[in-house]
Amino acid sequence: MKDHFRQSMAWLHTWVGLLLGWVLYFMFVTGTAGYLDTEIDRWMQPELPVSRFSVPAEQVTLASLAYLETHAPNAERWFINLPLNRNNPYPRVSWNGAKGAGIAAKGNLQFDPAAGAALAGRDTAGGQTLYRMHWKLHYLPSVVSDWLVGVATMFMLIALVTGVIVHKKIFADFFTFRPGKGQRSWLDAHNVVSVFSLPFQLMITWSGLIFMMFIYMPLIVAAWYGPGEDNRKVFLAEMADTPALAEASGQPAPLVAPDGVMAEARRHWNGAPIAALDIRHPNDAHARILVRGDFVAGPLRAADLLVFDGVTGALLAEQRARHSNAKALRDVMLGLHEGLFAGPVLRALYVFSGLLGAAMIATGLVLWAVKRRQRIEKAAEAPHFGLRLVERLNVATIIGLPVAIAAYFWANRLLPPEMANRADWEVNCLFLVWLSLFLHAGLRPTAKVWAEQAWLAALSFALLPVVNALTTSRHLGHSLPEGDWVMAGFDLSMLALGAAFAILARYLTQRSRTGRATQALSLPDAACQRAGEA
Amino acid sequence: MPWLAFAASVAGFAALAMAMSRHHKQVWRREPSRRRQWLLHLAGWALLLASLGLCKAHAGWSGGMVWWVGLLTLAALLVTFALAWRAR
Repeated sequence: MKDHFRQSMAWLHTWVGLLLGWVLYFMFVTGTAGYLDTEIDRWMQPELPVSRFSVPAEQVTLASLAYLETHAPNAERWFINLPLNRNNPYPRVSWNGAKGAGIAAKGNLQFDPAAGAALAGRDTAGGQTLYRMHWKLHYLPSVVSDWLVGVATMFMLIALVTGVIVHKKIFADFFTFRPGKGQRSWLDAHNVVSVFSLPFQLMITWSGLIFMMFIYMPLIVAAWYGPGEDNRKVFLAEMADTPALAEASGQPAPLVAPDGVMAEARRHWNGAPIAALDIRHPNDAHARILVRGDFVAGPLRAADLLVFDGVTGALLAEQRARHSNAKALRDVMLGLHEGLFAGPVLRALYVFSGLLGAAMIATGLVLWAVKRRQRIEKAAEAPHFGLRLVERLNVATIIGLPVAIAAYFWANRLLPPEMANRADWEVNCLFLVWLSLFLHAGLRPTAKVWAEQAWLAALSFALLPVVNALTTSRHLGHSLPEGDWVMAGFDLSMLALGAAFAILARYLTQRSRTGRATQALSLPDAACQRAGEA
Repeated sequence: MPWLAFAASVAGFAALAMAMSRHHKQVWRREPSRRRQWLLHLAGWALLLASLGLCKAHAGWSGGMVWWVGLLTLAALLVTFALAWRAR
């Protein structure tokens, strides 16, 4: 009975993992890159200056308000985001509902307080697009991508739970990795990588579902609040528990100077920093200034909020970051998922755990193919279509996706600066290169295709710092002596990735040479030794 | 503080691995005695708990748990690869 249960779980694990593995690998790789989104943004806009967090918040606010007065008069809302850390490297101002001749009704830009103007960099899709791909995918309407990602995430959760059930010796084999033993080694690698990072994988998968819970389970809201968009808005307002704000009066009144309000807010929070000012109906008698604290000071992804009268500067209302336990649980799960609170070292651990997730999926996919390849070789049968398909999809996904991401960075440096829809074309380059690697994997012999794509990955990453040096002045020779660690860190990471892929490629080349014309990864040791002796 | 927590978790996992006869034999080429096994077990868990304490001191309970889980992952992987390398 117990064995039957384990067998059926093994079946579920195998097929759920295979079916959604490629999509999940894409989600893990792009999501992991997302932990470095603003750093990638910076590399993709080398024109922007090194971000400085030492400019006093008052100074930034005054400059931003002056900008908004001229460029967004009579707006319904002004929003000023202050730079606190790597999550917001530059101040950001945005507005909506501005009125006037030659005035943009809406706007959102990164702001240079010293120049009192928008920061100008090249048109790029940036790290943000790469990061958003991990749940929005690309080219697809959100109805399709939301549900595809939701099903994949649900399957991931099933694969994790069944994986623990199927793993017979989770404690006895806890520290066991036996390299060079074919299928055995792949299973060991899959187990070790998955078990060690299991808490992270469970957290990231479950919280991923929580992010979208109102999309996947809309009926729960509808059951309590009634169907339709209006009822949904009522629910969201009630959940956020935002203090009620006055409508605009139509009577003009000058906005109070921000420094008093900001000093009061800091006093209220015992010196904790201000992250954003949200001004409703600026220059109206009913103006309100909403001052938000840092919503990523810790894993609880929520901030204290103070509401001030925008004309007198009097404190009107207060909302605590944690005002309901159910919402706090959700905020913690979202906070853990995004990891915005993490400083450099913890962020590195986040990236590492994300890469282990990608490795878990990759080793699982390879294991599926290696197992079947060894079985048919023992029986001296020809590989069936399904196996050949999976083998080729595996290469083009596992190695091909990193190459495509490198191509995205290449495109950022090489596409002409004045090109129309330049940002879109960067993304198109990513997918075109990826498509061509699927074709390559389909056309070349399987034994060679792994090594060839790995060499391509090694070259495309290792040469990125060179391309950067040839096309910008922000290369390693400049960024290292200047202490520009974001630029230098990116270039050095690309060199490290290039080196890692080169080591992999060398190993794969040796394997495909010593083996027969079969799939390079699956060669059992005996076959290797025989080939070596011959 | 995180570095100390990391050192404690590596040492903790190393002790737990040595408490298993398979890995003990890999390193010392003999079975561990029952007493030695028991002591290694105790030391291993104590070090992992100490690592949690250091993480908590560094970043509070909620942040500390995140640190701890991240460091444990890295530490366990390090111990596993060290053992695999040793076994060659």
